[in-house]
Amino acid sequence: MSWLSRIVNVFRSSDVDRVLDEEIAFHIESRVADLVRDGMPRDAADALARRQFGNRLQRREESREVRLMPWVEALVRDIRLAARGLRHAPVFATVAIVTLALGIGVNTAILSIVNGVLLRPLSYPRSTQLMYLTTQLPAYGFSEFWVSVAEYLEFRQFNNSFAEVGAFSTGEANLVAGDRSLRVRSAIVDTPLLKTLGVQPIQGRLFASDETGTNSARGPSLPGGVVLPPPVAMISYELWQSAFGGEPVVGRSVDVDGRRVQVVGVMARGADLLESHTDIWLPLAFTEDDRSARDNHGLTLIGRLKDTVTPAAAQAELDTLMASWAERAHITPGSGHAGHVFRPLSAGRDAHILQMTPLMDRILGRANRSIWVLQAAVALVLLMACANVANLLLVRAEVRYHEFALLQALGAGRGRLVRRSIVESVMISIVGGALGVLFARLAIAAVVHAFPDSLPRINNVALDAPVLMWSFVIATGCGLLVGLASVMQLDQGVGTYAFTSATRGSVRATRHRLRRTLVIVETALAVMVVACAGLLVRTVHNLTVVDAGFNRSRLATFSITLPPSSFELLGRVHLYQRILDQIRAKPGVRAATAMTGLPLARTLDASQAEISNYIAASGPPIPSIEYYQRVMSDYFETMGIPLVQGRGFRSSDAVSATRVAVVNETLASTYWKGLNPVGQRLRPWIPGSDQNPWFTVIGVAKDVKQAGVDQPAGSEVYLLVDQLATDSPTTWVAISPTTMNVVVRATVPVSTLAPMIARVVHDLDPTVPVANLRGMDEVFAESIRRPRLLSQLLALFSGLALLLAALGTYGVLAYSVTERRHEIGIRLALGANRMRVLRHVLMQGLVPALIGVAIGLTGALVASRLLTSLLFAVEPTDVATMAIAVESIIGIAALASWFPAWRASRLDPNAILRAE
Amino acid sequence: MATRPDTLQGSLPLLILTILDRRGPLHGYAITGHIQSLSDALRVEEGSLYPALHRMEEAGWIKARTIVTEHNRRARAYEITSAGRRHLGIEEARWRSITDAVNYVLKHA
Repeated sequence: MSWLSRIVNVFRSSDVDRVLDEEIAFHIESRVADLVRDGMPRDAADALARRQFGNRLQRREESREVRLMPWVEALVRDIRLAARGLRHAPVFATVAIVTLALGIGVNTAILSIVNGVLLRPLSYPRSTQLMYLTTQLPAYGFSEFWVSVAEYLEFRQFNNSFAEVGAFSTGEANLVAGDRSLRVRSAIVDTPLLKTLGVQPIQGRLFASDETGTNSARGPSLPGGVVLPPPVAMISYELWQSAFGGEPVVGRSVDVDGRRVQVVGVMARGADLLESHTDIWLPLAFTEDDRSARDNHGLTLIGRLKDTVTPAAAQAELDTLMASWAERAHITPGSGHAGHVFRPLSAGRDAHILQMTPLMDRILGRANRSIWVLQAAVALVLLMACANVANLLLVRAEVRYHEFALLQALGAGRGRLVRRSIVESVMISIVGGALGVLFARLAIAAVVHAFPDSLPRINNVALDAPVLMWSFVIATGCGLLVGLASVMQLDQGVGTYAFTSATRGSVRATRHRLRRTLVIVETALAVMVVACAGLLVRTVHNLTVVDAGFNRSRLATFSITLPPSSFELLGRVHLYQRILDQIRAKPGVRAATAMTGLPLARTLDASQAEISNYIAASGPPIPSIEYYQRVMSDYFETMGIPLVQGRGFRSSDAVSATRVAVVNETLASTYWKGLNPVGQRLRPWIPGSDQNPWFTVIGVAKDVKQAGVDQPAGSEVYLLVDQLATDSPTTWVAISPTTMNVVVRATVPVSTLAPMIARVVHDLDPTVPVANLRGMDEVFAESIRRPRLLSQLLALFSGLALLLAALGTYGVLAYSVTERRHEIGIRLALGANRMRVLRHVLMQGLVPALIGVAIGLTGALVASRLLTSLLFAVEPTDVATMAIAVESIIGIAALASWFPAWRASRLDPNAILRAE
Repeated sequence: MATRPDTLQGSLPLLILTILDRRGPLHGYAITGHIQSLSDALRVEEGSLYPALHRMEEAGWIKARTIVTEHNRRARAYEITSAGRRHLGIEEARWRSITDAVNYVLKHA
């Protein structure tokens, strides 16, 4: 008979008993029959048989213990009793269960985020081997910059740590499939990159090795050096379903950026490049010209370490390579294309290094810290919930005092009573935990739906087995913790539940001290949560009020791409012009313009320029302009960007012979410190081409935050597209732009503008989609979506914390007042001032709160240090935030203490004394 | 449960196994009868047989089934298993070696 059947028998105990009884009965009856047969009278035979058998009850018990597991039986009995006890105290049970449900629920929700986002490995095979490689140019302040083709190819050649290294860039493209015109996200990759990631197609094939990389370019380059890769593409599973309806697509031709390409494969479901939601994969091609332009950086690399190489070893190799790169590549370091090479950090201003970081870290970024902060906060909230439930149990123990005393008098050992209490509290927390898991499921669905992009890897967040298991463990742990806390006073030894009132008083005092301690702990934890939440709320507020440099109210934006292969250069400019003219004529539109870069989400251009009268000693060694903004007419007026010096563009500039430019304050202060910028000249620089026109600066515009409100503004030059457009451009700057962002300032909301804009663009060219139409406010909100989610969640948790603290304080105080009714009644009868009673009880509530606040404040100052990297424009020790946190906790404590205090002062001494 | 100071405690299982081995399946009352007929010296409280039987059943040395007696009454009969026979063999060998050793000491000491 195995232990499994012994456990099962616990639930079949009546059957087990019956079989045992029958067997014993048979034996005794057989003995009686034999004795009667030998002549004994029946009564005597009965008595003799029983005596000979021995202690029937005890034998049966012994046999029973063989058949079923005794401790399981005791446990089941305790569970049944605990359930019955809870049924008889529904209010207590509900409050306790709901409190724990809240605490465990938020914990489960955050646990699923920790598990899905931070702990689960990336979906690439053996993803811990994947490293993300970029470059640094410290002299320009570029801490994460791209890699050039030459640097990439040389790295593949020189390194020994990586089994494979590939390159990519990302962007957007126009896709025309049948009659649908879409803007999709593209990943431009070479075959080594596909091999490195290990992504596989579910239909068709990956790119062949001669379709990407060196010398795979097909046909002549477009003007400005745009290289045409082979006309193949792979689409993502998601795009295949949404745009092609899942129909057979391999071998079909589609239009990508006006060029016909053949779909050669469909990627597996969920295959992606770095969370960028890639819809279409295109081949990366480069020519010998690309290779010789050593200082033209546009690639990012991902490498897979060899099985035997650790990241530390690879980093060490990288460091040595930095020092010896120039030698290995046979390059003499210098300025210009040919002399551009990696140099270690020790080279100071000339330093240019290749750096690597694990791919997972790059994807997570600051989300790592944010999520751990959330986890810490909910852990504290859970502790507070446990403290509250422990308090409830202590109160309940008081109420059941007599019951326990009776049980002890009947012989129940201390261990038995402890076990029963713990079973009860574990039951409460498991039921609460189950409820909490349900609540977590809803919460997770709500967060994922409302903030789809606010966390990296958010589609991994789910209530799967490890999360559920951990929740169960946490629930059981809470139950044990709470149960132990509530029976701590049983340690008083023999006679704990003696009926004497003297002993009872001292036990009561101990329990009261215990409850007070719990309230102090709760208050301290609440201060910590509220303070940290406050810092993050202030951060988001600070981000919202940053002056981005332009007026974003009632400003709508959308982007259109007129791809190189389908539009000639001048034709593009004229089309943009016609679109703007038509939009400006519509009712409700006050102004409209277009530009190449949309503020708050721009990527660096960082292209070299020649700048007149620039002395290299004070700034970057080679002048480089970080952002190029090519604009149409009315730009500064429409955007609301003030000119701090000189003037903006005028319509006469479009036809003027002199090329004009406007710079921003940062550029002026970087390159023309102490000089008057107006009248200075600059030109984008290409070696050997002195035919590039010089641009004369006519004005200085106020800085616009290009990359985000929390990033400093970079140097920027504004050029007028109308002046640039020419049939034979010699530099990429002079090609009329393929993608422009149109902004419209209107008196009507975006939803009204949308159909009008779609119609205008469609009438002018039906193959061009209107992409990303939204208000600038939305662009701004998206740029701060991550800190905003964090601060909102923390605010929610601190609300929960305040609620729990209030309930805890109220509960302890209310019970204390009830307990001491006699004492208060007597005092009032003897003439005590009601106000004094009120104040006395109020103090009883506030003093633990004040102690808790003092402890909590210390904890908060320590904890907030960990938040430093997440804060913006506010110190971790910010006095105002701490003060508000402290005030709110004390306020809540005062409020919670007020009602019991008021009730105490309103007690009727006659009624109390009569009830004695 | 406190253990009873029964002189037969350790050897009761051995006895039961031997009886079942020699005499085939028997119910508890019959086993009691055989023990008593075998030896007056080994007097045991009748009830203590049953916990022993149930422990041995749990250990897998005997197995039980319901039978109908000649008086048309239902009873549980126990039968020795192969594991039980193996245990019996081991225990017999053990007893034998102990008695041999004691005899030797008595003879040659």
